[in-house]
Amino acid sequence: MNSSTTTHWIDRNAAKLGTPSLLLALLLTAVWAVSVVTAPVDSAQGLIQKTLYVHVPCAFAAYMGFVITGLCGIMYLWKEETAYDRLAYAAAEVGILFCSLVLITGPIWARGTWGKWWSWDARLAVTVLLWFLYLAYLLLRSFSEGSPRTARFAAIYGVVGVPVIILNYFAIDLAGGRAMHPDNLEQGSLGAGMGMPFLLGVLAILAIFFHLLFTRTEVETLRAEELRTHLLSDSH
Amino acid sequence: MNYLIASYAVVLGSILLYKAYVAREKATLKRSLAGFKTASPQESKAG
Amino acid sequence: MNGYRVLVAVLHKEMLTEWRSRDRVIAMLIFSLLVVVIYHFALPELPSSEVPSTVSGLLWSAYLFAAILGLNRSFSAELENHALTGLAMAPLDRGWIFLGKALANFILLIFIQALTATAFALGFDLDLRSLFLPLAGIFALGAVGITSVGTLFAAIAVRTRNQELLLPLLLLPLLMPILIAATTATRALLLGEPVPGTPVRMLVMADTIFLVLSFICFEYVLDD
Repeated sequence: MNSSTTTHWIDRNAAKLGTPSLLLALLLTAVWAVSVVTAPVDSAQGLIQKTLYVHVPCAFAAYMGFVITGLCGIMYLWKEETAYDRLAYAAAEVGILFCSLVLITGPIWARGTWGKWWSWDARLAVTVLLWFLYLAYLLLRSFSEGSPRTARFAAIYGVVGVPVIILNYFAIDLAGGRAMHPDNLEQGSLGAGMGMPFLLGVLAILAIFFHLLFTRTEVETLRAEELRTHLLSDSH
Repeated sequence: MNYLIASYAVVLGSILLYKAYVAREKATLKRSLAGFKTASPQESKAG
Repeated sequence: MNGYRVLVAVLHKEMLTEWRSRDRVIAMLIFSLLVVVIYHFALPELPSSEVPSTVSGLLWSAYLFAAILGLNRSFSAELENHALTGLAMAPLDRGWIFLGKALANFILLIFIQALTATAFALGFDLDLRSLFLPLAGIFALGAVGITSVGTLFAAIAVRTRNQELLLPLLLLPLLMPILIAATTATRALLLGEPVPGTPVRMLVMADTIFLVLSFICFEYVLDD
């Protein structure tokens, strides 16, 4: 694998897509902001319901990050190309960011409507577990030495983590987790005029997610390149 | 209303902070790499 | 050498070293009995009607902590004398090495589970004799899940910095589905209900996924 002359498609595209994704993210965020402000006020919850337009998209972005980490883990173990590991790392870190935002906006919303910050609601509990899972992933990376070993260990954890996300969903239902969340959020339980800001929120947050993912991957690419230059200059 | 503003502010603030952190890392690495590329030919001449 | 014989050889070696030193099993046992005592002091006096529903959670958290304590030392003997590198270079299917190791950890955990459950039964005045078979089944199903991913990540954690710190942080979030399903099933049994279907299916599903993934992934753990 001679990566000094041929760059991997991941590194190439991450560097190339940074600016376009930033522009797209800015544009979508502007449209989203207008649409959130003009969205109708919920008759039952009042203004606070508008938290939905940022809370749920952040959850989508978090899941997106963790799924990418898992897929890249499989690809890394299969192909042993370090670019997959860099993308997996970036996706886990950006995923943790959005997962944290879900865990911050959720309690703020809860405080505004139910009057208390935290409830052990099923989805909230799953999200907390998810957060710990990927925090452990980042910790594993920082505790292991030597880059192929780190990459391999992290890939294994990322791969095992994905089925656990799914299992947790079943498990918490089973433990009789009290549900505060509506079940059919996606199936049109949104009131009239609420679909558009929600959709725009998803698109804007995903655009931001991908922009951060691309630039974070680029940082890892540069870091690997720097390491290589150091090694080359040392060997002279 | 305050809670609503707080949640959007937290989200945008965190994203911008993270973006700034990533951009700074990127700039540092680019500078260091550029430094290497200009410094290494001189080093090899000296050696 | 075929897979089955590798498994038996690794298992035999594991049981033999464990039998000679008995370090791990004694530490795990004392730890898990200590947890029983700690719960006794930490919790208020429970009315006897609430004992069954509380004990199942206590039991499984004691198992989980004791298992992690033991798993932490599961590969430390191999780290000395570079035996792990030796294992990696041996022309064997590594999945079977994993199964031998995991089976040894499983036997150890089952032993701890049985003794701890007896201690809980005495300490919290529960009669478990009539529930012996279904309880043993649930314990075994939970232990398969714990020891499969447990063995995989013990092999990983042993070659990182701060291995003792890292393993519980890696394992506890992964084992949450097992913990939830196993406590639900155990609680139902202790409350005198029939063997519950959903948590048992859940345990079987999680065990299968964890076993298969660990078997496959162990291939990449030793690669050095």
